[in-house]
Amino acid sequence: MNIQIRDIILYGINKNVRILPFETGKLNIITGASKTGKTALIEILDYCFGSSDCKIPEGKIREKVSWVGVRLQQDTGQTFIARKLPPPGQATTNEMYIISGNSIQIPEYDVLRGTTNAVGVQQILTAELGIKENIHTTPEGQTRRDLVANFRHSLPFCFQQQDEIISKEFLFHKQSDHFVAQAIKDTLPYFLGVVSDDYVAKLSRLRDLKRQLKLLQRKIDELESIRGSGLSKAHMLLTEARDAGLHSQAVEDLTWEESTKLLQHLCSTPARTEEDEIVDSESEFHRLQLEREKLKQELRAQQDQLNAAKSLFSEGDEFSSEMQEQLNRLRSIDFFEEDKNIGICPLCNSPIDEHQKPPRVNQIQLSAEKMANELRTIEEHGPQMQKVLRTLTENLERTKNKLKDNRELIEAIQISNIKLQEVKSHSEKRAYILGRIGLYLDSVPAIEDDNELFVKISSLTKEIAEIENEISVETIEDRLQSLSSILSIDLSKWAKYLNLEHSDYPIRFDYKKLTIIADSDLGPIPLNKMGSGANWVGGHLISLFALHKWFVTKRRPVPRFILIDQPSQVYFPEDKDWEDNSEAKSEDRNAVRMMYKLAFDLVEELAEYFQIIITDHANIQEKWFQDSIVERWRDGIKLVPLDW
Amino acid sequence: MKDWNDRTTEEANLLNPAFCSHILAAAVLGYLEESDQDMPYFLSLLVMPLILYKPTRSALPRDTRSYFINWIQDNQIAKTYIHQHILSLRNHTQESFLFGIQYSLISLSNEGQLSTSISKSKLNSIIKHLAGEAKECIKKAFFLGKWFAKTGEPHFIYTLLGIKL
Repeated sequence: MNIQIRDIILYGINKNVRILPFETGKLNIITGASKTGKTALIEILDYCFGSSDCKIPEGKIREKVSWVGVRLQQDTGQTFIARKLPPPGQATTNEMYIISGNSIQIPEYDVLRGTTNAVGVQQILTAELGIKENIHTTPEGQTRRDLVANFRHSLPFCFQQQDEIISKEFLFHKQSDHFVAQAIKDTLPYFLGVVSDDYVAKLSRLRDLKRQLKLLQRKIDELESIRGSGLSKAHMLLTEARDAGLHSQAVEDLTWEESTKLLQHLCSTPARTEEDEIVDSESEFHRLQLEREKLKQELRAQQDQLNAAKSLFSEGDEFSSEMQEQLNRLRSIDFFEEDKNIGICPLCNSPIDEHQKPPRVNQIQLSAEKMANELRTIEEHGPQMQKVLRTLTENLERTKNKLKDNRELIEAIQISNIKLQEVKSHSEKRAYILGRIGLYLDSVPAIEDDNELFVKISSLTKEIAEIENEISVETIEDRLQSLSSILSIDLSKWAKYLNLEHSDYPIRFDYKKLTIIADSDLGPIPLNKMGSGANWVGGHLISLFALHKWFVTKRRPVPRFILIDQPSQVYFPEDKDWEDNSEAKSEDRNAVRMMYKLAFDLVEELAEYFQIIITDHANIQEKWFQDSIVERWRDGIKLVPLDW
Repeated sequence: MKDWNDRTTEEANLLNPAFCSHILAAAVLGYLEESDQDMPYFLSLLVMPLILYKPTRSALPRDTRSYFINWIQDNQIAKTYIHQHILSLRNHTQESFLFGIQYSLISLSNEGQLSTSISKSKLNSIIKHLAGEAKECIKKAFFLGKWFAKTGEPHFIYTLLGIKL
């Protein structure tokens, strides 16, 4: 996560390479006249970090430069990213080049080509930053990302364009865009570390559980209502069943559970055939019944046999397809004619041990023949298997026909026997009632679910309460509050140092409004109610510095750099103003000096963990300032070399 | 590495060195088609593990327009098993190299670069002769070689797969 800028690189259309190097862990100053390219640096970096379009201003850069690149320094090594500039008339390109490793040389022009796009770069950078992903792997091996935040969400804290640093309304880069502002508010708790990494995952689990709970509660409600109307229906059916002689219980006092239990019992008990009572006097009928039973058993047995044979056949199919694949791969040997004995290793020229020797060509050829033969055997068995299946199927059909004949005979007897006729209608009546009971039971949810449902509901409720507690908005609010007090210490201290208005009062950071507020005795004063550009610039600086100090101290996944363009503009709007050495300007000069000193001291305090890059036309004649100057863009030296 | 006759038939046949050296040659040929350099030896060690494991092979895209860098992020399956598979196929890979070099399918330079002398039409006739998954393996191996060449620095491919060299 310690990502800092090592170099910014321009590749000219003329194939020249212009490297702008920076020092990590230090204040880097580029001091220069206007129109030398200072303002373009932020846009170049943003473009390399996968912005959706190219905001690098038209002019020298767009005319003369073909690719832009950045080399990043991290704890784990270096990463180089480059992106092709769009040709005139095009908004952007999506051709990007990325490579990372322990130590990366800046590539030559000819190496550059599209090996990935903005999405790929964002994914890699997000991982480098250490933003933990909840990766779900679907059954097909695809991955879906459940990200709390990604690399690009951290960029609003890392850039301050010249028109942004003087804004009293918006503290952060691109915050004037409503969607960006919302994204900052959503992700800031994560970046600050007041919510855990699995915050988003917990949120979605919570939503899931609440949905399940709602479904179960609806089921319970349904059951309740069915019981209400259902009880009378159940009683009615039981009464009919009693009249038909299916049972002999009193019905009126039965509860819902008892009624459905009895109904189920009736359905599952095989109906006592009254035919049994008259069986003695009808021996033919009896014999046909016995035969029927026997035929049914035979049918079942034959069905089983057929199923077994079918599955054996299809297994054989699978088996032979595996063998076919083996043969397919062995077919490669057909391209090898000679048979060499590989005795010396061509890689290292030493003799090969017998055990390490590859098989001979003829060995592989033999395996191929063997496999081909085995497959042929299986194929030959194929027709035999077919024959077996056919026989079994025919037997089955024959039994079915016998059963049909048997049924017809029985029915004939029944028709001619009036007594049996009566019995039959009675059976029919019973069968009819049982059928209706069965239908009714199908339409009603099983009673066992009831208890299960309650158990499920209570466990869901418990889990929901747990998660709500973990991610409780109150807990987050509390954490933000205490964080706020801590940040306030630095904010107030630095506000005094810079001599900002209202710095007598404590200054705090407001997460909802994304601004800083001075708590005066007349009430809270937000940044946009403080006067003068100097306060606004100062307010921006101390806010960003305080946040980054927190990010560094708490090892949060945010890049460890800020780029600031023209912080001195409120005092010295024009280049030439800086040359004015009069008394009148000395107070302003001091104010600028304090800004830079604050930056310098912060970087010193945070050692190798933070980098500040400032582009400006300020030039302070003190050692610490001069030592921090990386390049001077004056007298012909600019971002894009003059001779390109 | 077990003797040919001591191996199980599945292992022997499915991973026979004639077939595997064809896979390697296909990958090298693919690489050469796309790059003006020879294929680094260590890159070819990835070929058999990625091609012979069916879930990875099926997940490979149709053409080289897809970026390997993006694909690897979206297909964790390749990363998950690659290390295991490289190890378990180590001996077969070596055997297939010996075989391929001895039968002049591939050659290794002193600088550790692989090249091949088989032509595209020879490869096509191999592909035509084979069937089923075997055919698919050779075709995908050729694709993989091309794809690797397009991706840039060979060391980076290993980094992306999560393997420390």
